[in-house]
Amino acid sequence: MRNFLSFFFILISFFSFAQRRTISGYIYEKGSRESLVGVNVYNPDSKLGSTSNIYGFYSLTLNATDSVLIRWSYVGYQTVEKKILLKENLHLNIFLESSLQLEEVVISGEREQKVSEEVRMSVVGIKPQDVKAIPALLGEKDVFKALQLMPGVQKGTEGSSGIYVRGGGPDQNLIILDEAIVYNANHLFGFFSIFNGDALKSIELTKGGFPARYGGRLSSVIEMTMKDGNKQKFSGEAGVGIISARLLLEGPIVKNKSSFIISGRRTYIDFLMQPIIAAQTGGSSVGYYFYDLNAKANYDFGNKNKLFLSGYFGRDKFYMNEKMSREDRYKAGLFWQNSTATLRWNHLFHNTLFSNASFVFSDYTMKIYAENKSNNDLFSMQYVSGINDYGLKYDLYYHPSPNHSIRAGINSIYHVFVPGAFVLKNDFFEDDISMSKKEEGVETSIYIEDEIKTLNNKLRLNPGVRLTSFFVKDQHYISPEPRFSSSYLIKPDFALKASFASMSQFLHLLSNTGIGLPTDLWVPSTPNIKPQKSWQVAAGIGKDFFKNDLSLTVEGYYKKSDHIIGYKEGASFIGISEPGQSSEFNWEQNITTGQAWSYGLEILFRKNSGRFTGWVGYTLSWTQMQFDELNFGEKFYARYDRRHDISLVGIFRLFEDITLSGTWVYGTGNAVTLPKASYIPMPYNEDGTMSNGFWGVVSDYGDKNSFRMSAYHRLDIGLQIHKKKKKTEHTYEVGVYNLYNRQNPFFYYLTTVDSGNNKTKNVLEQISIFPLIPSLSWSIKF
Amino acid sequence: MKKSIQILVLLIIVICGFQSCTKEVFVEIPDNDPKLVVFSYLSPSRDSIQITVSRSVPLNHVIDYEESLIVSDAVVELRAENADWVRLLFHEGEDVYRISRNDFPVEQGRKYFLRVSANSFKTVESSIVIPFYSDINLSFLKVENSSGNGENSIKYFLKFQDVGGVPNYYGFQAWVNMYYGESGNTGVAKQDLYMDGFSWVMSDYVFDGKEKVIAFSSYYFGDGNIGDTLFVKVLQTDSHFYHFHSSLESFGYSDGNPFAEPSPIYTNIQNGLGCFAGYSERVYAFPVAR
Repeated sequence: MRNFLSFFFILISFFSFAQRRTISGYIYEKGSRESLVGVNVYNPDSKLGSTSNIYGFYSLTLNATDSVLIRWSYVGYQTVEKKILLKENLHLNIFLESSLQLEEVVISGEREQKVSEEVRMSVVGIKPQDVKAIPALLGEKDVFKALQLMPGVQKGTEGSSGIYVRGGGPDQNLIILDEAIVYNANHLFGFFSIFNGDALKSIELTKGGFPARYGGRLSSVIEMTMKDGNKQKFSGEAGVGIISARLLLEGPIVKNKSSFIISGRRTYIDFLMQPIIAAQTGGSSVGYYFYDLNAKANYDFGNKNKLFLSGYFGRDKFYMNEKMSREDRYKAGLFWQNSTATLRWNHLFHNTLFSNASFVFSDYTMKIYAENKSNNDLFSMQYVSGINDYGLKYDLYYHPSPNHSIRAGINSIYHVFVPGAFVLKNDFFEDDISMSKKEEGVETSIYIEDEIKTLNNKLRLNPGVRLTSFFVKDQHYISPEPRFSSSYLIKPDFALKASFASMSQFLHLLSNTGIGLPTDLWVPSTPNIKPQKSWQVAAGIGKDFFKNDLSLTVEGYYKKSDHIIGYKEGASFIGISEPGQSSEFNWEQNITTGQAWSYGLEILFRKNSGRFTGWVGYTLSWTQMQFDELNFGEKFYARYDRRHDISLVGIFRLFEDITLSGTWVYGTGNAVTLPKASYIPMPYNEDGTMSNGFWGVVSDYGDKNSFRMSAYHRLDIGLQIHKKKKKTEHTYEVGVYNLYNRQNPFFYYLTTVDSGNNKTKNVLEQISIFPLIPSLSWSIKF
Repeated sequence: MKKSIQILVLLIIVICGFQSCTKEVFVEIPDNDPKLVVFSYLSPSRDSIQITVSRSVPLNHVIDYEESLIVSDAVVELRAENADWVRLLFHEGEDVYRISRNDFPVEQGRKYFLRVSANSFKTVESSIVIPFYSDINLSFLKVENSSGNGENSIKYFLKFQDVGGVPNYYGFQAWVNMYYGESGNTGVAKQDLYMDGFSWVMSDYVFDGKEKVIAFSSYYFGDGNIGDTLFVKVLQTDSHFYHFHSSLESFGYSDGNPFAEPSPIYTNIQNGLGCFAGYSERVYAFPVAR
């Protein structure tokens, strides 16, 4: 098979491009041999170029010539230029040295490739080291919080790391870590994401114009790649903040051939508080913790073969244990956890043909439990939900000429869903209750895309198509998804861009509008619940101001989604009221389907280098929904519909070793449903009359999501002091979250107050969390 | 009111965990005017028509528990299609507006209009069509008995045939007679039965044109003798009746439940709240051999 593929592509190359020669290889960081993603490979004479893929591999085909100048450049690294004899195909690995000039370590959302030259639009890339410079809540640097500072990307509630992209919900984001899908990316109810930036090499968010290689979600793809580990020497990082401590270790297994990296993080407040709580409560324990662990190992079998094994494990847990006596004890808790594992094999057939094969595993589980034992009577309740994935992927990268970069591939995932497993044991009931639903589905996709450069490199096109099938319960769905993006250089620094993407989603997240516990359920499309579908068009401009290294992008988009799902009114994630009804529990009965419209304008103005770097982002957007069974069939605004969203980010290198940073964010308040009035209902009575019966007073809610919470805004600042010693580098950081102590709304609730004379008055109260919060942290590199 | 199984201890943990970080801020409640709240269910089988009229209390108004919400000075009018308006009078003590069947007959298939006006309120209006009662071939299937711990339970199964091609809405109520005393005949009481499922009203959206099985259950203590006749009242209602009662039950599940979606209550009263609906009914009696 391998020989056939090699022969087939070589034959095409030979007949089509007989006078071409290809230079290819891997690009590494000098010292660590960490492969570098997105390095710009450029030939100034022909104005042709390429970029390294997520495995660090590049390939550039040029006319055969005696001598050609090639430039390899990457933000934060010194550019390498080489004059090369190109009479034959050449394999050349390149090592880039990290720049010693801190002003070149910019906080940038993009590679050095200018926005006007990039054919893809609606893409944001962030370097993990850049994330470390932005001030964060409690000093915990968070990848998703940094992404929320980009236009078109919104957060949910206060402090949440949830991502809402161009009007799409958090379930419409495909979150990939080393090719494994992560289903719940939240620690501490979404206040932090599970991704430890220390272990990551690259982070890229795509909001629209999706290339055909991506699929399975409607709104965004967040692709993260873990570091490979230093192949030359052992090194590490450690750090302590207010709520967690972290440690990273990396080093060679076989020098220059194989390496490992392990990075872990855990909260420590429960360790400190446990003895105090036990002493105060006579032995009871209550607490919360989270941890996450990233691990990776790899082996280089030479230029043609590389093997990678990586994994992630993380958990959050709330718990409460109380022992009143030998016969009386009580315990309750809630935990959720993610596990992923990826085994990958890179193979180079030919200098123009690269492949990657992956086996991928992913698991997400959430469990709620409570147990009360009293005088030999036992009450025990347990609720479990989750999803498991087992997947195989195969991708090909083919660079037949400088004008074409072809990608094709196939992937298949076997999903196992547990939308709810409930077990109740009660010594007072005659029967215990046990109810479990398990569903399975197979999702398979093939795709092909081509990045085409034409018209003297002024016009760039990226057409592609993806075909996805989904098998579940004897139901088969097939979805063709055409994709297209284009860029036309009007001037060397100014481009017009446009894109179209059709997307399908076969997995759905049932998200309750309650208090934000991780009670969200992942469920599949079924014969009754069709896949979600969307199509999106976008158009915009990319302008570079080379003199000052400024860039401006302006994009407008329109997205229409169908068959989106939501809970029916009155439904709950545990949809039973009485034990006798448990046999009828079916999540499909709790949900309904509808449609959504999202449209808006995004502006990003950025300064990429110099002592001062940063950006200004503005989004103007609308998101509306319509469900036949919600809001009596009338259109309503989505809860996260946010008319205006503004982000100001600035990083200033005060001195060589001192960095000052600040962010200011503003967002229109979320749309919520509040009662407008109360009244006395008079339903039909069994004897034909009307009677209020036991109903009492009920609420008139008015239109769904018709009330706007207060606007959200806050200012964060941070100060970093870097101290370099002989063998270590220390960083001390002090930060302030919410500097002017804005009381931003977390949620609203109604209460009544006594007005005297047997009268009461309703009062709407806003709960705000996170007032002005200072933070301190220390980290060391060794 | 039914309540879902709640994980309150976890809610308490979460709230306690953030007590030190929370701050309460009072938010101005948007103002809106009180509305008239009108309820009435028309049926050819009723001796009289009753209409209740009360007022809603906007969220930002003071609630006076000594003040009645009943509106007794409203002008309440009904008319049949192609007929004149007829005014209903308020009956003190019952707190309803009433008119007898003789003065205002209600017929299946006919359209009726309602209009209510009162000082300081917007005039409200609504209209309905009384559904015909279609034969649904309701038949008795079986009965199941069980007992334990001095308590007995009984479950009756029936089936009916939905008329296909048109939307149909149903309400079911069932009861038996219970006989108490040593000889079994000393006293008799009506024992209402509970309908299995989430609601006593249903729409044929899922089973249009098909057979549907329903069940009724009851618990009773050992010293009672359950009668050998099952009574079932079947209401065939309009969509307003169904949507109001099912949305009211959804509201009941969600009210006070932080895990549930807020559930609005249906209304077909223009400019107001409440429900104006129609139904036809039939009562069945099934002898049950136990």
